Amino acid sequence: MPLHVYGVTRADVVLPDGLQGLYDAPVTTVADDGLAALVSECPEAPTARRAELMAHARVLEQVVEAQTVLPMQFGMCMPDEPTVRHDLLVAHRPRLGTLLSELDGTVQLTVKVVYREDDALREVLHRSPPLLRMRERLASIPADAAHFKQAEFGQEVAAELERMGSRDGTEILGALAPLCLAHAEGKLLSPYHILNTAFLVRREARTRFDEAVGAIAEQWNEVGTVRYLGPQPPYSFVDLEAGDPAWA
Amino acid sequence: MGLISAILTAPLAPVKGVVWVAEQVHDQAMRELYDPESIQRALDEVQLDRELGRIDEEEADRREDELLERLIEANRGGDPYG
Amino acid sequence: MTVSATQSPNRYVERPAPSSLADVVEVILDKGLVIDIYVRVSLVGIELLTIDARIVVASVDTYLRFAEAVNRLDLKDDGTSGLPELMGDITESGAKGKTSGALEGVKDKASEIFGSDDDEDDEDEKRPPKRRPSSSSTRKRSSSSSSRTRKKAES
Repeated sequence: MPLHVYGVTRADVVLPDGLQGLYDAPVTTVADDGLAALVSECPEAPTARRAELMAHARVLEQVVEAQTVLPMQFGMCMPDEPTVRHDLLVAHRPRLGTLLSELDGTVQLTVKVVYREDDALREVLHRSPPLLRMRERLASIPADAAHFKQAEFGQEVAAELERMGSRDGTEILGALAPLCLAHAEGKLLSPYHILNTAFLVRREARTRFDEAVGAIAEQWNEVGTVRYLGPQPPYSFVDLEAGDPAWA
Repeated sequence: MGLISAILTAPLAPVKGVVWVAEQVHDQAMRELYDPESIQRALDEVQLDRELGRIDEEEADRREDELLERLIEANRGGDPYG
Repeated sequence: MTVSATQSPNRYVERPAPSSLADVVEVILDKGLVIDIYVRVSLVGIELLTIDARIVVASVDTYLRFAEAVNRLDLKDDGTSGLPELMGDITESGAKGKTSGALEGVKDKASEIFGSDDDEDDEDEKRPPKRRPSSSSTRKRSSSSSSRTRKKAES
């Protein structure tokens, strides 16, 4: 039966009791000379419903609590154990071994900061009395005459919001970067998203990192919300291409 | 420049104009629907709506399923109409 | 909210929260190790909703929405934002130095849009920004791919 692959660990991995993955199938290992792939039986091609996606992530997050695991992208489905052994573990042994060494003793922690729309726009007006006055003037112009001016006003607001977000995002990153080994910026999906960054952090530095994120959440509490995720496997710090690590 | 201003500044084609505009609008809407970033944003919004109690679990799940379907379709190499 | 926090005597400590579906989708569908020929994800087979032909026109519509969002903000009558002033280490001259460029730009634009005026603009120089601004930097928005930052080993 085909095998869904979750990730790669050292062969001495200890899995949590009764660990289940997609479709409630038990998670087992396929080992080869010091490396192990975490797998479970699954149909030919897994569906990507909430249940399957969350199961994949949950397996990885449970394992990473105690040991390093290199996460596979969702949907890696190999026909049988020999294929897993040969096409994954043997074929990519050097790179997998290198990654496991380099990432040993680390976890990924992700910080996302998003402005709340109204609070951020109030802050924009607070910082910019000219914009505040523009708003007042626009209110006194008849709507049909104001259309073009409204668009120009909106453009100014957007620009000021962008400046503010950029400054705040940079400041937050500056506070957290010294506490990590590496960081990887993700996509910012709207003008209100000001940080979306994956941090690679030593396990023993986690408490210190938690405190720093707490301070950020408090400091930006009036305009935004902090979303803090982890510990995660190092999604943003692995790939099968040989290359220099993000940290030296 | 935006789609509407692009259309307005293009040379006029009076006979086919209306049909052409309708097609452009439709194509743009399709691209928007299958844009992974839009889908990701929409997923974030469903989560927020769920947390704030604006929608119930059943509705949240239904919306997420639809978004996931679109996302997988989009990841296969662009939107099916692209 | 999804984040849980505990109030310790001196600090507000944030504990990481479990990932939501949106969080998970962001990482497991295009990050992690992949061998392309073995990626198999099937469609769920859901009937997709029909197209709603609403589109976003990049420039004008977006700016109108910003204007509309700002216009419907509930502000106090005295024109302040209603947010409490923060006590903090905001140095007025540093703040002024860094933000006055932005304010100047906006002021000029305001004159362009509305024509003529104002002697009332003198007051803006006295108002400190709420947060200490950091040095400016350029950031890439969503069109960029994620990038890793190299740095020396943590001490």
